[in-house]
Amino acid sequence: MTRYAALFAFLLIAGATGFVFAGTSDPISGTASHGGETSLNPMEWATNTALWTLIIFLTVFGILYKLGFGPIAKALDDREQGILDKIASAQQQNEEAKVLLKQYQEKLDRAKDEVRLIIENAKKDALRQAEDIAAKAREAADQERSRATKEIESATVSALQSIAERSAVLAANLAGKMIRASIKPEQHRSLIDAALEEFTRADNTERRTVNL
Amino acid sequence: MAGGINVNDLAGHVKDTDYFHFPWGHWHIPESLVNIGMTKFVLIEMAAAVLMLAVFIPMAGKLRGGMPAKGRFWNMIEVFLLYIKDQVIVPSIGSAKDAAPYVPYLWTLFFFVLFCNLGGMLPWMGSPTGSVTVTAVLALCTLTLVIATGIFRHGFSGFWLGMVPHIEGKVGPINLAAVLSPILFVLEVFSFFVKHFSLCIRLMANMFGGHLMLAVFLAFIPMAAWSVFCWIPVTLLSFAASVAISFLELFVAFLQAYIFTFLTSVYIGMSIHQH
Repeated sequence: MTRYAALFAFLLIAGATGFVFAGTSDPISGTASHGGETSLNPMEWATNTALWTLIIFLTVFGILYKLGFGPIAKALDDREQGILDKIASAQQQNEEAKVLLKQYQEKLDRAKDEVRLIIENAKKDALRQAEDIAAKAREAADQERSRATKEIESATVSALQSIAERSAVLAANLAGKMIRASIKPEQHRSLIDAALEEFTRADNTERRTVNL
Repeated sequence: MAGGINVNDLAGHVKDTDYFHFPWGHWHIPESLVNIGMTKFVLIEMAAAVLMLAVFIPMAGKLRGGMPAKGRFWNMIEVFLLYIKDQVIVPSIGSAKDAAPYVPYLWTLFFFVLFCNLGGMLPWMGSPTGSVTVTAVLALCTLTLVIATGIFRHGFSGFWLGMVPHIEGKVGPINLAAVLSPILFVLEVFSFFVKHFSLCIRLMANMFGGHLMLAVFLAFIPMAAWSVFCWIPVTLLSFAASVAISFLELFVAFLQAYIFTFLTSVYIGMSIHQH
């Protein structure tokens, strides 16, 4: 509104000044030379030319204010404002992107920590399982060895019994031949049992001595 | 007039007349138009005005809604407009907000002065800004705008009295402000009008002087026509000098339009931001 008021005042004063000039013009010097004598005085005044200049200038200004320079100025201001808005928007988006990046970075760091923890746990589990497996294997081996030892001992006892038995039979047969005496089957059996018992006792005594 | 020069022929190319001087003769402006004051300069001013309308009204359509201009010509015009607005008007007036109401006037002033100046570069035309009448009217418009701006901003008395700088201090019992303010007021008001008067004289003198120099250089050619041995070197030299001066005039046409617009912006800025 103030702009239009200033423009109106300007046009009013300028127009009034032009009409004052026109009203005081000399009809002879009021126009430029007419093909006759032309002076080279640069300060020569031509009132009609002044009036026309004023009319032309104000007219072109008025038209361009409405249809040319006014809209151009507005368009340039709009464009400038649009660029400023876009820059502000870009800056805001940049700030938001930085915040998001920071959040994602924190998530990534947390994920890395989790991965590290998972790997460490997995390693611990694997180690524990390996130890369990080794312990079981060791236990199984011990059991196997123990069983084998018992079998060996059993076989040894059995072999010794068999040897003692055969030795006793051989000794009895040998003794019978030597004395030519007839030994009844009951006596023969009791001699063998006594010899085996003696043998077994002696064998156990020897083993205890070895274990000690 | 062999071997001489008629001042009317010389002045006819520089001053305002009621005819156009073409190689095939004079074309006199119809009497009916001359009677209402339409001279060669007035018709050239009209042509400049029509040219401005033909350029800037379509330009406004192309830039509507903040769209960028397309095409070399329209981009060139936009560069002119933006340069004048951002590098001349806004810095001189002080801020974009203060400058905004004056931008259309100053654009009009720049291009009107520029097109009138360039009229003198066209064959058989002339430069209306070589006439003190034309430049005085433009300076008068600026003066009116500056006074209207000052009164609108500061009030009638505030504008005129605001021209006097603030003075403090005493010399003995004498109050300096009371003594110096009236003197400074007269000086500042006188300076104010002289500054605007210098606007019209500067533009007119530059354009008139440049075209007169061109005319004088070319006038050497008929003056040397009394001898072929003299005429040939004089013609060559005159032609070369005229070409050089024409380039200078082309530069001066832009420079003077710039200076006129720049000083008008400065004066508007001074009326807005007083002492």
